Amino acid sequence: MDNSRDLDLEKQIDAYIKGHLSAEEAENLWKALLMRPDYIELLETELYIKQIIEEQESAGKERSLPGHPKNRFGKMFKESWKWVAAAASVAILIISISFLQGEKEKSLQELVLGEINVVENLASPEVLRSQGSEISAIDSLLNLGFKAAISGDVEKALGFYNNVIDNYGSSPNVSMAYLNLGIIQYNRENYADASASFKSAIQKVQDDRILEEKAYWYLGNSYMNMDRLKEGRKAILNTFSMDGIYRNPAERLLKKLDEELGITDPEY
Amino acid sequence: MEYSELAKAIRENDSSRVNEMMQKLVPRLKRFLSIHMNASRVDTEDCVQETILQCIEVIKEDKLRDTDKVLSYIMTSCRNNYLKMKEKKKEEHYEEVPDDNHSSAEQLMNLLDKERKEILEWCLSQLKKEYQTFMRYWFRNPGAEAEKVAERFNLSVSNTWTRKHRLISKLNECYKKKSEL
Repeated sequence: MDNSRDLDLEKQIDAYIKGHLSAEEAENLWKALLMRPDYIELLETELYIKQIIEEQESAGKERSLPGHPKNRFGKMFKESWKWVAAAASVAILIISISFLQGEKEKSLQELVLGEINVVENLASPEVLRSQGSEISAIDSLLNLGFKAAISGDVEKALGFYNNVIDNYGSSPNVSMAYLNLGIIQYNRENYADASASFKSAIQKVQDDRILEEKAYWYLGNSYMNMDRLKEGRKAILNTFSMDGIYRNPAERLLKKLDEELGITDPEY
Repeated sequence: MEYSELAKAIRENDSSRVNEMMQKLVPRLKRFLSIHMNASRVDTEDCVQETILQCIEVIKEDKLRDTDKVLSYIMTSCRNNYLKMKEKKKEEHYEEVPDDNHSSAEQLMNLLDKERKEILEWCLSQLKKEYQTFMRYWFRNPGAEAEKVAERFNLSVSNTWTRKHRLISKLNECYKKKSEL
């Protein structure tokens, strides 16, 4: 067995773990890995280390940031008189058991997304490096938007996404621009615009279930942040029905939401 | 492992060579299903067995003449068999199907084993502080290019990749030693 280092393989593994490979690239990576079991082992170890570090970081953040974005929903929640009593009891519960509770016992506002991780969730076109094919103008703009966003230049990213929306409205990939625009608006707590963007992403998407599911999930969360619980429930129910990557969090949120709305016979 | 060699051994009915190569192939296919397809342990076992039998049959019947494509064939069959198995299960026991198959990167974490995680957590804590900071920076900034990491740690890009590779290998070795105890 060849145990020499393969830097290209290491870079691909890194990109795979970070979710930056297209489906085809990931399959090509696995073809290479089936020839290099030593790297399969390293890939597994890296997955664990990533998870451990993320958990440690997130535990540290939650401890050090009492004003975590999750709490924004709490403020809006309390503004609505019909929720005052529920909010008070939830607040008491949070204070008393927040460090001990499991996922299932989390309150409604804790289950709502505080902030969307831009690096992990922005949509970008699949670029198959191996093909060396010419990149289209819309894909190029989306890539530039992605690069600007992950570099922290959000205004520049918005410019690229708006350019795509204004000039390539009939392309299927315009749904990516709407989704990304929505994510940025969501993180700026501009939930009304974010929900409109996510709705447009859903209307425009073609043959991309992951993007459609994400858009429904974020749409539902936008409504929840605006205290529009019934509309939020509808979008989250759509997410759940898609039976994809957000099925579990959608189910948890639906159950909690149904408790709050007094729905005893849910349709799912 | 040369996959064209596997095809040759199957065609020549060289059962000891076939067995020897299959012993290497099976765990790799299992890891593919479990990590990439997020398959359960039971499904992984069934699916790999089925794929192996299918592969032997196809090669014996000379339906796969291009031996360079053996690897692609095995991987594609493995994936398709798993997806078919999952679909079938859904039809048969719709309400009982666990939510255990997502191939997106976000779902890669579903395979994590508690004991392995605990050991690796300990191994990570045994690294020098400087190396722990390096690993944390690497995973805390998933969008950061190796160039940025290199700049942050005053290393060349090539040395950044080497450091990362050495640390992951070291952690892997640490896990293996501890898990044998």
